Amino acid sequence: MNEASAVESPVAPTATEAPWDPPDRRRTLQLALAALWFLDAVLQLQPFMFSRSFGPLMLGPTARGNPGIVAHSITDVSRSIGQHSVGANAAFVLVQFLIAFAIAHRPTVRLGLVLSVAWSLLVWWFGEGLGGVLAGTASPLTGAPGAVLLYAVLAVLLWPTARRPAAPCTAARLVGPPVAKVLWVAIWGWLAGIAFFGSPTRHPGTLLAGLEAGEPRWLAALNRHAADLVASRGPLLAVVVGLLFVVIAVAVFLPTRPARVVLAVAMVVGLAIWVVGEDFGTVFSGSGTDPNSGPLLVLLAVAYWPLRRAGSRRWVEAAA
Amino acid sequence: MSDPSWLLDLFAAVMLAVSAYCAVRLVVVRRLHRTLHYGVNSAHVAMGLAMSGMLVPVLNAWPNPVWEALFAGFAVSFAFQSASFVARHGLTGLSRDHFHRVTHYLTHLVMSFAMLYMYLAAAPVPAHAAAMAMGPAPGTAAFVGLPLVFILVLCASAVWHVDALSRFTPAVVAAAVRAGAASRGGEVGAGPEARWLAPRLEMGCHIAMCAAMAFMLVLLL
Repeated sequence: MNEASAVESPVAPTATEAPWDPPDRRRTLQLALAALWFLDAVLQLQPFMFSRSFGPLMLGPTARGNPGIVAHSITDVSRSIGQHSVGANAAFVLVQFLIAFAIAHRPTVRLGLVLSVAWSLLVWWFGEGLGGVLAGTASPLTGAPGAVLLYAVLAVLLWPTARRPAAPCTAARLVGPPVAKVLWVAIWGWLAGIAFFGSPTRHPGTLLAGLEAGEPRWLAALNRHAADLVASRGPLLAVVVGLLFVVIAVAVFLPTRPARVVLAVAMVVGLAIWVVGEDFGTVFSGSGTDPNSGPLLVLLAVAYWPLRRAGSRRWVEAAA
Repeated sequence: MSDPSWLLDLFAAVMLAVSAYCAVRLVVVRRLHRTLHYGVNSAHVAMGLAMSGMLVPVLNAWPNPVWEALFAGFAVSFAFQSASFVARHGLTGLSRDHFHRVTHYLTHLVMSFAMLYMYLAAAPVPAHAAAMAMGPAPGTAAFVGLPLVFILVLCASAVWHVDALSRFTPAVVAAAVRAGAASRGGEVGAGPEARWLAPRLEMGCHIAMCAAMAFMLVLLL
């Protein structure tokens, strides 16, 4: 139907019809998630992704170090994608655009979030090798615990529901404050764990030095300086970063004001990881498929930002 | 078939269609007694034509300096409109038609800059090449962070417009028209929602343009 004629022949509103409201905080976060999927789809349109090398060179190596069943499945899928590179990549692009549009379009937001979770888990397995969790190669700098897993977590936390309108933060609307807190502690606690006890082969200096290839000069120089800075301070850095992550992990148990300060720190840390550690998801190299975990960590911190409630002094109290 | 030249053709075709549709809107809007943003629709016409020419050089209508001057003009115009909007309605205010905020003009300002960037940064190609092999020109590496900013703005603008599509469903528009009439003391007449010419199609054009422009900028990263 022509848009103009649709406007000229108004349909009587039904009892269930709601007026259009501007996006609230949760809707804005959903739109941010949709924007990231949109960006992923656009990045997936790069020529390299349509080449036969995409499967074997990008996805295949993530099998390394994983248990047999996981490694074999990744190898098989990456080989298969390599053989049908154009069709497979076109399908990936379409799926990601579809998720972005479905989340952004109000009547289909639930479908979009469900697709987001399903696709995230598939990509986490076959595209990111479970984020290196089982291979022991995970590092906060490489997007641990797998950037795409954070898409799934956010899709769940941002599910549109009328439950708990007085929740202490957006992330607690669906799952409730206790589960929301467990998720936050699990993510940041796990990052702290790999900062403290991560594999020595994943030393930040080594990782940062390895990022230089294919990056623009200014970013390569930033990587080089950062690598030099941390090269001789490995153990000290591990302790400092690990402790910082522990402080962030316990933010959800703090009173509102300190919680906000720590969540702001979490956003800065997310941005720092994105810029220095992840090189903006290596999007400048021509082979970046997503912006990696940095922006998602920021988005997650926004979702946990304590909402202003009259009379509530603590994040915990507001939930009661 | 790993060469994505078909992809460039596809985006070029979509951009030509968007450009042609926006041109038709500009022609028929008065005849239909409707309203639209002349500046935005004119920019969409020019951007669609220019992008199709960049993607498939044989479609390039004018020499690059002409396009550069045109988009510099659009950038100045949108900068002026942004400034006057802020002066009139403040940073968080709504326009008189209750649809647009200052971001509407800022987004098109960014799009104009992005077009300029593409002309200045893209490596030159022969006029009659089969398809544009886009890539950054030597010397633009120092500004490689700039297209990423443009891309982020375009992605955000695209999803924001998808969200707003449901604002213009027939039922919501009818409700808004009735509410508007009631607030005018029962005076029957089309409110701004009903006067806007095919708002969802205009948004669709904007979304397609954001996707195409973001794609082209990604090729320049």
